[in-house]
Amino acid sequence: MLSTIRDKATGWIAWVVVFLITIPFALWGVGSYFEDQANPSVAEINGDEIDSDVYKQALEKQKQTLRQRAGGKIDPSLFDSPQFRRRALDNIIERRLLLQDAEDQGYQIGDDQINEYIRSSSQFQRDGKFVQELYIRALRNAGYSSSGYEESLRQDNVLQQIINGFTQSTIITKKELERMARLQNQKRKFDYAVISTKSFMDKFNPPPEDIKAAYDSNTSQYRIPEQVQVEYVRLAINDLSKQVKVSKEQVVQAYESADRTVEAEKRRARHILIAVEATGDSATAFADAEVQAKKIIKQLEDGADFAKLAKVHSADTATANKGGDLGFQERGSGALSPTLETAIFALKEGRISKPIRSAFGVHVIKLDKIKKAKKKSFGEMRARLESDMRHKMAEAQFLEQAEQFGDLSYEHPESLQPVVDELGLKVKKSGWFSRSGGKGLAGNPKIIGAAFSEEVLVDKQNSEVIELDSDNLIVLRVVAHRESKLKPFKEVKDSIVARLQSTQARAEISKLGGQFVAKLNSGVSWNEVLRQNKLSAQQSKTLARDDYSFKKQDVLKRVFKMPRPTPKTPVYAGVALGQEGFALIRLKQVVDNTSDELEKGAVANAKAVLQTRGGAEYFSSYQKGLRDRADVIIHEENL
Amino acid sequence: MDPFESEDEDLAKVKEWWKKNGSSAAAGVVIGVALVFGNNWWGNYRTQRAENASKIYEQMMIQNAAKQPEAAQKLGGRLMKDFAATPYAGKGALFIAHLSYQSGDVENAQRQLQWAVDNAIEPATIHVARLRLARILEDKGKLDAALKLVRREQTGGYTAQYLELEADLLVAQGDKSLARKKYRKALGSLAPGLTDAKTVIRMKLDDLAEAG
Repeated sequence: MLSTIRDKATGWIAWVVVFLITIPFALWGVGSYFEDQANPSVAEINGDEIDSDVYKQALEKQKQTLRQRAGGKIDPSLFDSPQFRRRALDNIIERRLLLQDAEDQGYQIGDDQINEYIRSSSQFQRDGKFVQELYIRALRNAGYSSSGYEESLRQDNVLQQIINGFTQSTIITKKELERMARLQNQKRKFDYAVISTKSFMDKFNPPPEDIKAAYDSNTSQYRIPEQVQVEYVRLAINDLSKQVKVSKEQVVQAYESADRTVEAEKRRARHILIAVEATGDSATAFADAEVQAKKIIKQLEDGADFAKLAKVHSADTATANKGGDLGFQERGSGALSPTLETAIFALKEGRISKPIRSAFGVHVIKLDKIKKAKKKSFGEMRARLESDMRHKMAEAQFLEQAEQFGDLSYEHPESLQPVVDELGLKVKKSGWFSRSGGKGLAGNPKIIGAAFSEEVLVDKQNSEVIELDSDNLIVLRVVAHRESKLKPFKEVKDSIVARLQSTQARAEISKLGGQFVAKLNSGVSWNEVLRQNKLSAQQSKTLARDDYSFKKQDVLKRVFKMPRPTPKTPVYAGVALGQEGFALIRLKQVVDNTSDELEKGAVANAKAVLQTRGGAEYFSSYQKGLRDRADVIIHEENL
Repeated sequence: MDPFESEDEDLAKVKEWWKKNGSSAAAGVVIGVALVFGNNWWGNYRTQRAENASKIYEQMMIQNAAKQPEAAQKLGGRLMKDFAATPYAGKGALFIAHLSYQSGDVENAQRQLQWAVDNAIEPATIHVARLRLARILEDKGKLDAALKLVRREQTGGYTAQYLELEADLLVAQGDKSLARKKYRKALGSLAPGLTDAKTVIRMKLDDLAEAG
């Protein structure tokens, strides 16, 4: 059977079969038959896969932006939070959706547009002209291939076209502006009176069994937490530096060898450059240039003017017209080429150099002036030098003693005395503190953790060495311990009573407040209701809705949710003020201004809101539409 | 039948088949090839057109930013006339409308927006044009026409804006209770993060508060 197949397989049928098999490979390649394991897909957006690589890049970029914005002070654990990761993915999804729709709708950016954009962007230009090298270098530094960069430019430009289409074409009608300005600047005139919780509390006398019940059912609230008191010894560079002895001789010695420079030496030189082309026979070219340089030096020695010769001979166009002046330069500032700098700093003031070779050609240099370095006096530097020396010596001592500190406290776990005796330290005692911390050192989580650890709290041993920071070591032991316990009833009774009273008073006040509002609505006058209940109205206010200088924001919020009054009939309402009580409100007038009556700033404000709403908001809404329609699958396991 | 007939027999069969169906098979191949090339050509042509429109659009933006409304309008007009099959035509109409309105030519602004509503190929452009057109109609007091326009299709991510505008129109017509319902619905369908919109719609809703 097999042999028959083999016989047949040599015929033309076999070739046809082979040909048919090659077609799919030719069209789709071998690669698509293997799932890329190293770079799994993190999401699928309308069938479009997002690679893990793309996602990781976006994540990294987001981290960088955040770090820059926070100025380096950022909790790295934030980067691992699922929200942070999700935001990176959401941004990718958002962008991909926009690009997909841009393609469907038929947005296009041609190659010539991209080229034009690259050529005209200033970061790739020198002296206003596009420089290919700059472009290639910038791309390499940013880790882009040129096709990758061009593609991302193309995408950015398409998105910008779309966004501009929304935001640059807004229309704001008069009616809309009028309405917005009116609403934003509306003021409301109102009176209010507060029924205070305090005034009602005395009316309630909670029965003893209620007080007891509240005490029993809220035990966690009336507990004193477990507390400890610790004694500790500290080995710290700061403490040591106060003890070390520094003699004057030592400080003088340090002064001698210290860098006393305030301002470095600066030298001002001129030069004439005889340029040598980098191509061709450079040895001869350099020799020729040197001959020319020697001629110039001869002329200078004969009294010729340097500036004039520079103008005629120097190939350094930046300085030729300024007499060859290079300005004052420090050593190592990088402004000059190293050979030039060395030559300048080897010359004496007023002297002319021999021909100097550099990468650009041959230079003739004249040193015009030396500005000597400025240095600090001993008096100025003494205090700092001494404290530096103390710190240095203390640091050495600290490093030496740190090991002993740890060994002694570990070898004698029942006492701090050996450490104290050996190292001459002092034992200090903390106040009482709980697991949630206390004052000073007791607020440090490392201290709290050690104090409440099993070996310290239960076994009564010395703690391990706690490294507060690299300059501060501490060992502690617990000297006293209080179990957690319920506060005695007597001690908390008053506060329980006050709480019960307040709760009851507030319920009562809300009920009353509601009744007062009903009374007012049924026609009893404001003054009458206030008088009957011994309430006094606060002064009338006329406020805008965003007036945050007004303390009772709850009242203001309620005022702006009330229906409009008519000139004859005010509108009443009430609002609970939390602990404080309840407010009765009488709204007397709503003041609406037309845009003509408003200040210019207020109208401009309204316009700005409408501008955003008619531009950026329409763009966001377009995005919402894309999202609502999109088919997005997220592979959480690959994130 | 023996599955392994001799090759001569196979060959004879193929020849016979070719005699019968040869011409139509050849025609099929020719048509197929023509379709592939035609489709390619058509794709290239469309890309070329879109790229040209894209360039004009960019120029229009530049003129607009340079405060040259007339030049910008002219470019917008070209997009609408010569590149109606691209999304840039609709955007051109939006721009001309914007520029016309700014220069006080409300009638022309209205015409351009109407053109975009009727002819733009991009749904988002149509929504935006419809919303802006309705605002202009409101401004002119043509409330019924505006209402008809905003009630036509409240989708595409613009549900909240349509509902808010509808409510504004209802307030102008005096139907406060229906307006309240529409404002509430608008708040419910806003995209998250649109704080300005939220504040404004709440403000409008509060302004219609009723007793009780």
